[in-house]
Amino acid sequence: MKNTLRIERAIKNITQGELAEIIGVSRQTINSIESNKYVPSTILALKIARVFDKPVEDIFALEDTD
Amino acid sequence: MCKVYFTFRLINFTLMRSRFLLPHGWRITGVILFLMGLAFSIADQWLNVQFLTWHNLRPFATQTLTGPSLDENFADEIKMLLILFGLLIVAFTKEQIEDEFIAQQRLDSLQWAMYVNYAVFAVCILSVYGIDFFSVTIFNVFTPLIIFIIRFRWIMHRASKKQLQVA
Repeated sequence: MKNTLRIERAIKNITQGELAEIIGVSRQTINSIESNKYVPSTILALKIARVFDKPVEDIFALEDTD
Repeated sequence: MCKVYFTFRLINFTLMRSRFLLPHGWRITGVILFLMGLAFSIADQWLNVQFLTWHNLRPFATQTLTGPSLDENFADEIKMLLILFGLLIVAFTKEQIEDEFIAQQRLDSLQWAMYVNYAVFAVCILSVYGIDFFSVTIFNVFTPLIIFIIRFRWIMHRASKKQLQVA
């Protein structure tokens, strides 16, 4: 699964730490999602999407290998 | 005074999978206990402290090389318990913010620690004999916790590194 989290964050101009704080997770979690090392749960993905006011599919998308 | 979080409820379960973990603030206590145990163990090799000696604890004990002795001193017990509880507390205290990613890493590290520990133990079974093997098995009681702590801390350290390139 790929994601555009880093780009969305740049558009909104917030740091990993700030995003983590809004959602209530650790900064390591946001970092790992951005570097494609961790696939978030549905709940977390929905929460992230809500911060950016976008549907989940705009931020997270399946890859051919998934 | 101190609250132990044993959460059995399923509320917010997916995000906050932090069952059976101690509060974050306890970690320093664990480190102190472990260091005390370690310092005591190392110092005792020269000092040979007779700590909390209980004379005539086993009046009917027959004096053999490996059997229980008449008197008992609790230096060894104190050492082992300090190290054991120190490591346990360090291993199983919460992160500052405990979430699903961290819970996943914790579980992975635990499995990893088991594999590494028993791989090393298997090598020891084949290569160590006699009284040395006995020493190895004692050491092996603590190594899963040590390997777990090292692996988990390393993963957390790696995950907190900022990535500079923009995707």
